[in-house]
Amino acid sequence: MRDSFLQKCSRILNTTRSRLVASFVVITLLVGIPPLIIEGSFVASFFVLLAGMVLAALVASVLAGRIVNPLSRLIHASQEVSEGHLSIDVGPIVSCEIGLLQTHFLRMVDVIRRQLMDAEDRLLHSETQASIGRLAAGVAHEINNPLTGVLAYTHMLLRRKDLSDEVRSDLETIAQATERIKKIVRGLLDFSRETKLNPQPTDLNSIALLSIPLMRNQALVKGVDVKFNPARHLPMLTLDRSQFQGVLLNILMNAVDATEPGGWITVSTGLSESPDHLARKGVVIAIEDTGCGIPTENMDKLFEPFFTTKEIGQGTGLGLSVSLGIVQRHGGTITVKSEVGKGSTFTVWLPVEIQS
Amino acid sequence: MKKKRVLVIDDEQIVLDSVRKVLAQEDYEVEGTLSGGRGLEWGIQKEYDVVLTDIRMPDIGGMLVLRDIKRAKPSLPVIIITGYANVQSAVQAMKLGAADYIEKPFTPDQLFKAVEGAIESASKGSPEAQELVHKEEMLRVLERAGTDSDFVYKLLHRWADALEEYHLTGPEKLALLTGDIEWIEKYTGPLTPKQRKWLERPMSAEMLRSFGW
Repeated sequence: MRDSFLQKCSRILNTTRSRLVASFVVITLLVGIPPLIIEGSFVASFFVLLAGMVLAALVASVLAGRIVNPLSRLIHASQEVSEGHLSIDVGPIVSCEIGLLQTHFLRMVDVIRRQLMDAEDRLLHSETQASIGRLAAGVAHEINNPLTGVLAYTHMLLRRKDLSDEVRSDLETIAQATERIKKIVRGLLDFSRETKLNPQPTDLNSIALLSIPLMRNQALVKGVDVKFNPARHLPMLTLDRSQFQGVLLNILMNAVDATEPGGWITVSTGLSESPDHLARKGVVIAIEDTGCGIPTENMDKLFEPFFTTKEIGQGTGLGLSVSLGIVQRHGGTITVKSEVGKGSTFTVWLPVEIQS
Repeated sequence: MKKKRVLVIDDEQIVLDSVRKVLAQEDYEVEGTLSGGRGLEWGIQKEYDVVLTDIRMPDIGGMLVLRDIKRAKPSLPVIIITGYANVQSAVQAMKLGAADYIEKPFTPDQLFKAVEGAIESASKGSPEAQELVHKEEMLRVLERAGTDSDFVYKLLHRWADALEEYHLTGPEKLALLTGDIEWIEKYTGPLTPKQRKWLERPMSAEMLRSFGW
C-alpha cells in the first residue's frame, strides 16, 4: 500500500526536534516569500528570508537545548531506570521548569537506589542470621554425641573406689566443666530455634504496663526505684506481645542488675524517627538507668550471643542477642547510650508499619 | 539373678560405648548396633528386657523401630534416646507407645533410672493391644485428613497431640502417623481414595524428617 504524502511526512518528522525545525522553516518561508512577491525585489526577499532562517535556526537551537534535549534525555533515563539501571545521566541542568524536572528526577532515582541498597543489606543480614542459626543448631547437635561420651566416662571413673583424692577432685572438675558445656549447647539450640512471631495489634504502653510490675518488686527490694513516663497517644503497633514482653523484661532486669541501691530506672515511650538515615516513622521505648554504665570496650559486644559480664552460672549471656533478634524481626532497632559511673539508656525503636 | 538384657540402637559409636560402659557396671548385658534395620531385626528375633533407640538414624528412624518392635513384642519397653533439640519428638513418641525418653548427654544415674523404671513398669502393667480396635474412629480421622487442610497441618506439626481428641490407642495413632496403609487395611478392609490420601502422602517422609526422626 503506498503511503500518502502526509504519512510520509509523519514518518520523517517523528521527533519534537525535527518538527520544531520544520515548523520554523515553514514559518520563515511564509514570512519571506510574500515580500518577494509584493516587492518584486529578489535581493530584499533574499535577505529577509536569510534573516528569518537565521532567526529560526537560533530559536530552534535554544529550544532544542532547553527543552527538546533535556526532555529526550529524561525519557531515555526513565527507560533505563525501568530496566533496573540506576546510574543515569540527564545532561546539564537547564534553568527553566525543565531544570526542576531534571533535579527532581535525579533525587527520585537517588532515593530508589538507597532503598534498594537498604533492602539488599537487610536481606543479606537476615540470610546470614538464618544460616548462622542453622549452623549453630547443626554444631550443637553434633557436639551432644561426643559430649555424651565425655560425661558418661567421667562419671564412671568417679565411681571407682581406687582413686586418690587428687584424681577424684580432678575428675569432678572435668565433670562440672562438661555440665557447663551441656548448658551452653542447650542455650545455643534455644537461640538458634527462633520461635514463630504471632503479631497482634498492640499498644506499646500497655505492654510496658504489663512488664514493669513483674520486676518492680525485685527492684524495690534492691532499693532501686522504677518510674514510667508513657507518651499520651501512641499509634497501635503490630507486635508479638509475649515475645516483646520478654525483650522488655530482659532489658529491665539488666538495668536492675546494673543499678546500685538508691538509684533509679526510668521507662518512657514516645514517637520517634528511626535512628538510621531513612528517618522512618516509629515509636520508641527507652529504659534509662543510673547504674554502673557500660565500658567502651564492651559496647560493640553487647548483643553478641554468649557475651556476659556476669559470674559463672549467673546467666548465659543470650538475653540481649535474642532480644535484638526479636526486635529486628519486627523491623526495629535497639540503640544504647552509656557512660561508666553514670548509667545507660537502651532505646528500642519500632516502625509504625510492620516490616517482616 | 539373671542379667537383664539391653539392646541399644544408635548411629554413633560413642553413644553405644557409653551406654555399654555405664550399664555393664550394674550387671546388665548390653548389645549394640549402629544400624536401625539390624536393631529392628534383633529386637524382634532375639530376647531383650529393654530396647534403647535413637530417633534420628540414617536408615530406619526410631519411630519405625518403635512401631515394629512393639507390634512384635507388645510388652517389650522401648526407650528413646534423644538430643536436646528433639525432646519434643521424644515426648510425642511417649504418647505413641515409648516407655520413656532420655536426653543426651546423660549421667549414669539418669540412664539407670530410665532403664530400671521401664523394666519395672513393663513387668507390672499390661501391654497396649497392638491390634486396630477402633475401626470407625480410625476411618473418621482418615476421612477428615482427606479434606480438612487445617487438620492435616496439625497432624504434620503436632503429631500425637493432633489426635488427642480421638479415641485411638498408641499403636493406632502410630500406624496413622507413620502412614502404615497395609496394617490399617488389614483390619478395615480396602480404603477409599479419600481415606488413603493422608496415608499415601509423600509428606509422611517429610514429617519424619521435620520432626527429627
